[in-house]
Amino acid sequence: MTDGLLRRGGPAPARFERPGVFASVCYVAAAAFAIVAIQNSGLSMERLASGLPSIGRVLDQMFPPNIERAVPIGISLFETFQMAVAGTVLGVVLSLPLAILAARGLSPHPVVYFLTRGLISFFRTVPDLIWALFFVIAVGLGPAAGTLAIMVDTIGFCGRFFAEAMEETDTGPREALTALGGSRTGMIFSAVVPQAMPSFINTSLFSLEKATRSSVVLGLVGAGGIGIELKVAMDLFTYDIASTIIIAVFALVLLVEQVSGYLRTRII
Amino acid sequence: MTFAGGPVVLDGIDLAIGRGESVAVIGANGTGKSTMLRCLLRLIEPTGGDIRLLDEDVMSLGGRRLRRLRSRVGFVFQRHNLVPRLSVLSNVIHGAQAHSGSPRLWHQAVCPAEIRAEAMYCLDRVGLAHLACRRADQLSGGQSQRVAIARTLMQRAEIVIADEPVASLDPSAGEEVMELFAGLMREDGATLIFTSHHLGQAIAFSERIVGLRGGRVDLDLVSATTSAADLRSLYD
Repeated sequence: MTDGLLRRGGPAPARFERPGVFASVCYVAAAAFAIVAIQNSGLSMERLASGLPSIGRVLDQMFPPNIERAVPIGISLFETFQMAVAGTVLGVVLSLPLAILAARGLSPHPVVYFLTRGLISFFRTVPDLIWALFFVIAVGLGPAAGTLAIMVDTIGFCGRFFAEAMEETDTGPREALTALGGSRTGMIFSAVVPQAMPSFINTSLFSLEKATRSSVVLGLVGAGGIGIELKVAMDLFTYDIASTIIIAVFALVLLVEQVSGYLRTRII
Repeated sequence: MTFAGGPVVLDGIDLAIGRGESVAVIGANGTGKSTMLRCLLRLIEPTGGDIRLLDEDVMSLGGRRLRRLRSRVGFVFQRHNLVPRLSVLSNVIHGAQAHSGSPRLWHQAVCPAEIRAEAMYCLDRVGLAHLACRRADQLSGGQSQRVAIARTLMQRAEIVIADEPVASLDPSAGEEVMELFAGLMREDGATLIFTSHHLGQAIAFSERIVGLRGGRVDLDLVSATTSAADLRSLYD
């Protein structure tokens, strides 16, 4: 190619856009805030170094793990998993109608759309531990409070992703069913839900993984499951029992992740 | 008819189509063919004018009455608009939603036996009964459009509107599908209104040709006495 031909397109544009003054100020401010935040957290190499012997002492007491409470730990672990499954199933089932009301183009009215979006955001932004505290007060100590907390958390999570999945579906089949005089409900369940199903399954399995992890922590505030066993073991300095619980939780979470990963590849 | 803030798309269209008639609407890209067809069922809301369809004032209808009118009019889309993850049979059964809101019409697995049998009959009419269990996203373009036609047959529509029904198919498949489609509509005595860029097909499969230019009716001819050369001026 000759030089003349190469010049015909004019000079190539810059590889990166130069940020404006406002954007530059924002970048610098964000970086400065991050540095100040790290400084104010009190983290330092000295503190970390002085804490190392304590970490070593705890780890020394943790191993070998004590399996004399293996049976009650197993029962609690099973209860924890049941909480996760029950909360996720209830949450996923309740998410679907809320997601339909919160999906642009499917919601029957803008007011309904904004109200449901707001409710789902509220469920999602309040941490599950706070929901657990709330439900412990409402329904008392035990797995019921944990299940309800996971359910609400799942609605916050699945409600948003289900709605977005439905909004992203191809509008052609919807138009076809609208054109033939089908009802709105028929159109949603015949044309939208089947298209969004892979995303629903993916989100639900991810929710189950998330719920399994969080159901362990919920026990710390009395919402049932193995969390309370872990708290008691830590409070009584029986770190060898605590390590058994941590290993059991790790095994459960790993198993759930592996099974859900397998299901994802099989179903989707 | 205008889109929000945009130019006028359709203006002064004055057209009467008789029952059982077969009409081809032609015109260059952007002349308002698809918009006009969608306005007939208010899939696009016209900004003014009158539309009468099957003795109903379309513009005055709302909610259930509009749905009832739509149930009597079939619409075949250029992109077929099948639900990709569902089976061919489920897609055809969806056509029956024109007459019933039953949740049993959402999926073939829960559908009543007589509706399933009717859907199989419609599939047989388009030559695809053997593909009833295949997923819609595993069909060729020609097969997809045949399934969309079977869905319209299931609807038992009195008028069928088709927006460039074979534009996405190769010439041979397009010819085959168009022949089947027009033949079925003739058999059922349905009114057929379709758009096409293929002048040969427009002449062969219609009794009347309406040409649009700049959102207006520029010509209205009897197909039997029209040649492709007579229509070329529309594209100048």
